[in-house]
Amino acid sequence: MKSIFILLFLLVTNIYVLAQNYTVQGELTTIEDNTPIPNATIKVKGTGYNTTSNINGKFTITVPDSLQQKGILLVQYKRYKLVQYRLNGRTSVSIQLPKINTQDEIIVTSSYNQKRKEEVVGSISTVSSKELQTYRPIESFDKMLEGLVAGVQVETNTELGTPVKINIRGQNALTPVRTSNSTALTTSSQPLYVIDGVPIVEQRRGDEPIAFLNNEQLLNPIAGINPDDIESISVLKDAAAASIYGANASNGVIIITTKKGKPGKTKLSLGYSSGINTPINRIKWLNGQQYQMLLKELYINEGRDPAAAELLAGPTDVNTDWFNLVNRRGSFNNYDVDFSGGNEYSQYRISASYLKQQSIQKGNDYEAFYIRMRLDNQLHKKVRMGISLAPTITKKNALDIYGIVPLIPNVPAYDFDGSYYEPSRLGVPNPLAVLAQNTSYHEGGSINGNINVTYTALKNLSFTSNFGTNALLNKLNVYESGKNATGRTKNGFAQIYDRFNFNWINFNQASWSPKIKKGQQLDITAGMELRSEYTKLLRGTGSGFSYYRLNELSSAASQTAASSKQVSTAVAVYGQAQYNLESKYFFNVSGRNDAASIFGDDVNSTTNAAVGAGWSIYKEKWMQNSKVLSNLHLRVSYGTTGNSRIGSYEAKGLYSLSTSSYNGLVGANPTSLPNPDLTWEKKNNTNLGIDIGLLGKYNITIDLYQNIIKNAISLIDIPPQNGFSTVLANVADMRNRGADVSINAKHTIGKVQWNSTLNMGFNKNIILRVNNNSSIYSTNENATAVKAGNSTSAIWGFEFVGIDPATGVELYYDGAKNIVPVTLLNNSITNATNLGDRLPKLQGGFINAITYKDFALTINIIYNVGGYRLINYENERYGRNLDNRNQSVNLLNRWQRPGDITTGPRLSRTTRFVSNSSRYLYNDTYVKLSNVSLSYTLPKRYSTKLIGARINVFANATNLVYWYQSKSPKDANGLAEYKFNFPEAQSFTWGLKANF
Amino acid sequence: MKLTYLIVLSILITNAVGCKKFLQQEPYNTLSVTDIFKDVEGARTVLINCYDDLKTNDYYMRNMSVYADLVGGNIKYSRATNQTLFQTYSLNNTATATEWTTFFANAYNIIYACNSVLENVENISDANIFQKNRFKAEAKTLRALVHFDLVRIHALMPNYTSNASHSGITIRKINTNASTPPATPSTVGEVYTFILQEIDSSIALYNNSVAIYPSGNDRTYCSANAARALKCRAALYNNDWATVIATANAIPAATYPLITNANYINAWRGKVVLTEGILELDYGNRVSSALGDYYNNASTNVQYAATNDLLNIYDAADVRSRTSMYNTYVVNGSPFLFTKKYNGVRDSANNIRLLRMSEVILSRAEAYAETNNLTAALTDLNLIKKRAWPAAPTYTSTIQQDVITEILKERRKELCFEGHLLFDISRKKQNLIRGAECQASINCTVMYPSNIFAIPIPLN
Repeated sequence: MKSIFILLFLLVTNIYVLAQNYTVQGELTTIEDNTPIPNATIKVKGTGYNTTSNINGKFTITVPDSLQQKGILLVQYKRYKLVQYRLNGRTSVSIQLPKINTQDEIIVTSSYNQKRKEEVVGSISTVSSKELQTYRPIESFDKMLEGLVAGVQVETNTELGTPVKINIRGQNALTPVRTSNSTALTTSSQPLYVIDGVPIVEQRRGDEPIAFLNNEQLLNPIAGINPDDIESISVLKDAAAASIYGANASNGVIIITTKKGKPGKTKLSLGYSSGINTPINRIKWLNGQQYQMLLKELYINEGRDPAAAELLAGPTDVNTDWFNLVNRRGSFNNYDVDFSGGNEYSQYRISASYLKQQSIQKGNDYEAFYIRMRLDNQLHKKVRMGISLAPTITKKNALDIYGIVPLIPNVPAYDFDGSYYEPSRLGVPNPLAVLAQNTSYHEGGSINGNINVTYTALKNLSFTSNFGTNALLNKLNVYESGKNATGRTKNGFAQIYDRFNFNWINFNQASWSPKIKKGQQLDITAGMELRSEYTKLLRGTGSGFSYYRLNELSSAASQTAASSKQVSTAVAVYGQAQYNLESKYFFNVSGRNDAASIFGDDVNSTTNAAVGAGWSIYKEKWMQNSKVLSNLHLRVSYGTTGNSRIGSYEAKGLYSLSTSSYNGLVGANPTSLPNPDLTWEKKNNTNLGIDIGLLGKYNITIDLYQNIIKNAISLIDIPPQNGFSTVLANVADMRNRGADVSINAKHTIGKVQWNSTLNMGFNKNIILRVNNNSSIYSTNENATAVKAGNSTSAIWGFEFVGIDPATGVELYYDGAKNIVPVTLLNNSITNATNLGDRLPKLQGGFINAITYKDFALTINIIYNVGGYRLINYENERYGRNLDNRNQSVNLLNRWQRPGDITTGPRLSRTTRFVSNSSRYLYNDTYVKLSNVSLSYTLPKRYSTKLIGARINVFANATNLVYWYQSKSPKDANGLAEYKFNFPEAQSFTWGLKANF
Repeated sequence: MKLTYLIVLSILITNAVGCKKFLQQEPYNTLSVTDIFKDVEGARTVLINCYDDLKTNDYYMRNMSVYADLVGGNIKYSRATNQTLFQTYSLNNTATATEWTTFFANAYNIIYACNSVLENVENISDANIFQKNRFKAEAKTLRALVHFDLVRIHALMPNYTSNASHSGITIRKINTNASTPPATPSTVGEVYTFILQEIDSSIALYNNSVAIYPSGNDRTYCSANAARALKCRAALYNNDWATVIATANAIPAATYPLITNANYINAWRGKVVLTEGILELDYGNRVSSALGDYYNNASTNVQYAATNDLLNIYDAADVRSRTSMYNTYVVNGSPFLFTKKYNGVRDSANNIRLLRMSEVILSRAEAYAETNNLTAALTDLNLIKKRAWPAAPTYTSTIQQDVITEILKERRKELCFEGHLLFDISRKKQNLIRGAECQASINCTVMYPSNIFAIPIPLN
């Protein structure tokens, strides 16, 4: 049999040898982004000639002369559409392949490699630049992610440019229960951000000196990235995806890939958008008359006679609305320009963008200027190089006046002589004076740079070397003027914080795809990474400014200074092997060893690894005929990730120099007790995922996960006889269990295309075990505990029953569920109950994109189910601080005489209060119409012909409608109003984009 | 092509070799144990910090210096609100709600530092044997002092039970790490034994040592005589009269001449050491609150006025009496008298006097009286009496109890506001009677025996 084949082969070959042939050179790329397609099969139709493309997508094929004109090349590659290419006599061809569907898009699985979706055995969500909706008036991409990714919760805030908390699959580190000046509280609970292979520095480290820990405000380091430059974001959620990041991956990894140029003619794109924002959900404060009435009542309750109380309570006819005086209509302006282009050897992209955002609160605005340059170059047929450089300048004004807004209302804003009125007895400043006289601004910037070289030694062997840097500079200048209460006692007080973070990373890796049996593929990647982080801080303060307009430190009568320097280094070795059989069965093993610098000679290292498998069931023969299922893919993975981000040097027994001296000599204070048993936190991740495609219209991805965090670290109390009262220890095991569900549907109704995605993230946290079964509690105000059987984010407090109609005091349930007045309540937090979890049971978004002809409409709805908030009790606490500050209008419903049924107690400054009372607790279940945008692309016949560009105009609105489950009482405040300290805004923007 | 291989290969190799060194990063803000004990200059910062810690508010800058006088009946508050240490004044501290948490933690933190000096002293590479001896000696004296303070605050006096077998405090001779829980409290007897042993071994070391500090008055650091004076006090509390006498006699009186009568008031002013000062805490250039703040009208913290109980025991001609040793401030229409022992506020405050010769002499007088050597006792007693009031009639008595009572009265006159009274009451098994001036609502009178004389050991 075999010999017959050989004979036949020889025969055929001979025939061809006899015929006249010529060769065609070709190149295969994807239609989407021009990336080369290796290993594709190219055949000459109707003949036996065939070949495969090399790693750069290049191929050479022999074509009989007779087919020079009419010959057709059949190009086939996995999930790409079969392309028939007519030669028409060409000897050099360039063929672009379109994808069959989006299921097969190449996604970024780590900075070390990329994969096609079907090859992914872990849990990765990707967000493309389009899905990110970067035209929204949001200053950083982390805030933009809200609701877009299943299982990613963005605890956003309303203040511009401040750090945002992101929880991927719940919170994966213990909530801090101890506050200490010198030691880290727990490990970081924030994900690792990696931009083009370079990790972004987390700004604050637990072991920074006190002078910096307490007072410095931080900027969001992510805000240095222009959302417009983002090509895609990948969120790595399980071990199979993230364990290649080893000791830093416990909280998930967010990988940002920036845009790059494409071969072809130069593209120019210009964009402009502008808008306004106005306050919404503002807290209703007492007006002058109401305030005076309540204050008078408070004084009478304290035993003063009514006449004296009336006098003390101030005028009734003065009503200053401080909120209106310090808020305004904010504005938003964004300009951006980008050029890109190149040829097959080199591609470039340069973008610049300017953003200016004015918050609704006066004295608060944000400016950023971004530049990003990227060049990709084929230096040699085997060497590719990429360079990128992205400097950013940011400027932020952040005058803290919102803390001052609840100033008492029955005082005037200005005195008779036009100067700022300042109620002297309060010791608080007039916010208008603060606006005019104080400054608080950040000036800074960041530079991200990256250079990588790939050398393709052999068809299946390549080496990559990547060097990247990330530098962050910020200078915070605060001046509290001596002309108002903020700086009066110091006759002007200035503080300057200078922060410099620099980190670099270098990784060198080899990728090898050894030839094995047909239908099988093995890809091996191994590499080594070096990383260094350098932080230098400087702080200066000055007080006593003789002339108010000179407020540089050199003009201060007395000055202080502090500085800090920290260097840490890490070396990692990582590897990954990936095997697939017939593109149906996928196996993946990955691992990483991290060694980090501790102090002196001690080096700690940890290894994390993961295994995963995938099965494309729909590719099995017995599934091929299914008319319903267009995709069915199963994934399972198990592995570990670590969390090294803690000031764990503290565990080594350190001394720090004291700031005071003895006989002029400086002392060194032992700051921490050595705890040799302290080990790294380790997270065991299990993930079970399924991808289902139905009728080619619906794509459903469900991931079930269970993450067990072993040896979670917390600062705990120990007997002081040890020499220390607290120590960092591995105290608990904790579990996050839940599901990420993402349902995507594409409908076409006539010319209307509707693409909608529903994201759901379910999570439940439970602390499985606490050392010695001894629970750890925070202060009452922080309302947190580490207690087995409860969530780490639970709120610990006391259950409020109501107001005693007889006496007007608060009633609570005590430990034995008996109702007791607040005066008899044992309010030690060890006695508190779990009032509810801060984090929601379910959260996510419902994202819709509807297109009709040249119109496109997007509607983003985000929601939260469960989750509780403990609001600031000072807003309505008994009227306790009523003489010093304004309070919520809710205080009007207070107890006055026996028999009154009210929500608020009798006004008093002396009755005991409970800060962690369920009276201040709200269920944070809500649905929000967070963004709506409508865009229109001008028809080609007008725009392209007249201007030479495609013009797109759009209008956008954010925070349009809120629905809260806990409704605010009529004419009073509820969660909607109390939720954010910094007032929330609604914004309307419009813009246009021109593509030349 | 081969060149590229070589480059890649060499990068990988360089990386691997450079790794170890790359990972060794020295801390810049803090020092590791091994680093700090590398040389004399580093090691002494640890001891310096112990002295500095003794000056904190919860230690000698307030709590430890006022406690015995506040509770014993020398102090009353000149104001009705913001009364500092009022819970202590009311003898109302409990294990969970106490004003002594910080003191307790701070005390054991100092002991930790002393222990680490003792554990690492041999690693100080540039120290000679004499310097090492001084490191050891000071660490031992300091940890004896702190153990002594802990045991007199948190436990009853040794004579509360016949063999001092009642519970004391935890002795920490060595540091353990977090995984080893500290031992349970030893008996008071064991604690005193430890303290006296420590002092004895430190005295032996001082004799073979040299100074280790480049600046500061010798008397602001522990010395052999400071150790002796401390031993004298500990032995007195332990009713070990022979030791009190022998130790007091070992302190050269000529080195510590008593302040003269003429100079008595001025001597307490400023940061200079007293002529009779044996151990003082250097006040330095501290700008935060000082002990003097509680006694001086220039501070908003002024509140610790002298009781009439105390003021009435002085003869008008005594230099320590209300007319000369006290400032009078009128608060809310009423005059209050404040001692001049802590004259300055903030930056201009005085050194804190921990041990001085007058106390040693009075302790010796008491020991003589207790051993019925009344002649010697009276000599010491009259020395102190006549220094304050040269024209005072010489006190004589042949009744032992009378002499002891007179010595205790003199102790109260001389050592008031220096942290002695309550301990003297307690070790003499007297009742605490604070009379009509007492501002507390409870515990104004406490009958001996009572465990209220010890502040419960704070729990977390």
